[in-house]
Amino acid sequence: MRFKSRKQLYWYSGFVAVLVVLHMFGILASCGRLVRGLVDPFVHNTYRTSQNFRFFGHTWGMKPISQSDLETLEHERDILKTRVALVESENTTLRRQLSYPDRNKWKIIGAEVIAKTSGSSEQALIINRGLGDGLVAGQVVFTDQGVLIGSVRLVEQTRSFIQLLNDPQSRIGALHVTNSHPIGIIAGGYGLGVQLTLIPPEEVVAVGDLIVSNDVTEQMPRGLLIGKITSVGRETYEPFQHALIEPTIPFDQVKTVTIIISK
Amino acid sequence: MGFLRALLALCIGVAIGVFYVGVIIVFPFPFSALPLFSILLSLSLVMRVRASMFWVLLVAVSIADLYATGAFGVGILSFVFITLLGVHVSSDVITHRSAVGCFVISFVVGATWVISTEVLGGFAAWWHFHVNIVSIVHIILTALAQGLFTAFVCTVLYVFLPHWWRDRSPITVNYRAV
Repeated sequence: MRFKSRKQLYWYSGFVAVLVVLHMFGILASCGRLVRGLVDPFVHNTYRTSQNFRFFGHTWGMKPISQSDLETLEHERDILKTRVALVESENTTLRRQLSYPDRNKWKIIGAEVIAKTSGSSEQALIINRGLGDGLVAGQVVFTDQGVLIGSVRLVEQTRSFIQLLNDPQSRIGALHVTNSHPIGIIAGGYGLGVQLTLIPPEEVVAVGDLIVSNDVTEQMPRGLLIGKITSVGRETYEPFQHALIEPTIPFDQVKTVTIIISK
Repeated sequence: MGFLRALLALCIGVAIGVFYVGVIIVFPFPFSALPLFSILLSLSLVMRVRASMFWVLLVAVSIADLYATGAFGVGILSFVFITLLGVHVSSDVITHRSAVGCFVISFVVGATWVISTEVLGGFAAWWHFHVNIVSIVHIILTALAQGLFTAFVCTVLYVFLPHWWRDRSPITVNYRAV
């Protein structure tokens, strides 16, 4: 780069450093919000276009479903829907007879994903809900299909950061769907994947088993789907088993989320 | 005229920042780890572009910083630090037009960018969330990988591609024929 003098360069850098320090102490927060308000629509539109482009890339070249297959799948779906309705009805009756407390009376709020964070070692989504909507750090976030994607990490006035399950700082208790045993801790791996650690050595886990959330913390509900096991391993010198988890949905394809405000 | 140029520079900076946050970050690894700012900064240094390019890139980095978890300023500080270092190194020490010179400058910029952003990001995480996320092994491996990638891209773009084109351009061919 060509600066007119070294002194000019130092003035530039000093000016920028003062700006950053002022921002760190919150003095320039309103300016940041103003700039974000101007840039957010562009970022949101570009983000959504990239998501659609990726989705198009995934489906490109895939064999289309034939009419007969579609009819078979629709028939199976109807059967499953009927079965779920019957089980729910039976469950409600049994709960009433046992005077069992009602579950899932959560207060929830929906939000739209506006971008992904730009930090190199963090895996987080930015949503359009903030302090004004009742969000606080630690609240659990899932998609409308009941799939857990992470928790609220940082809340600002009009937006929040959702720490994804594949963030290196993410730690969540997990349950085995088959026997409802606590099975270990779900931890992120620098955005490259999700791993299940600290699996007790006597626990029998197999590839394809489904993993759900465990209510070990106050805000985490039991039973939100996390993913399925794709590989299991244990070295001879390790006291615990470990496994790799394939999340049920790719996190970067998420467009809307639901936040549990209170359980 | 000066105002128009400043406005144009601002628009280009915002466009680069939006492109980084809205497009590159969205793609899966390893595409999401493309060191766009390292490459642009390295090219600016080895090409000795005008100082206005510094402001364009600074605006782009600031936009990207607005979308990082409570770590505003990390990219900006890294950028200023590397520019100060890079101006000194590229002006006084290394001949830019050589492949080796370009490779060395770009490698240093790519690696330093990773180290400074990771360390400052770790400090920001400790400041905001009281957690230690700095991993020395992760930083070293990432710095090596991104430094090499940046160096490779910049050497191809700035040294080999112009050489290749010069050998095949009509002007050169005509000159040889004469």
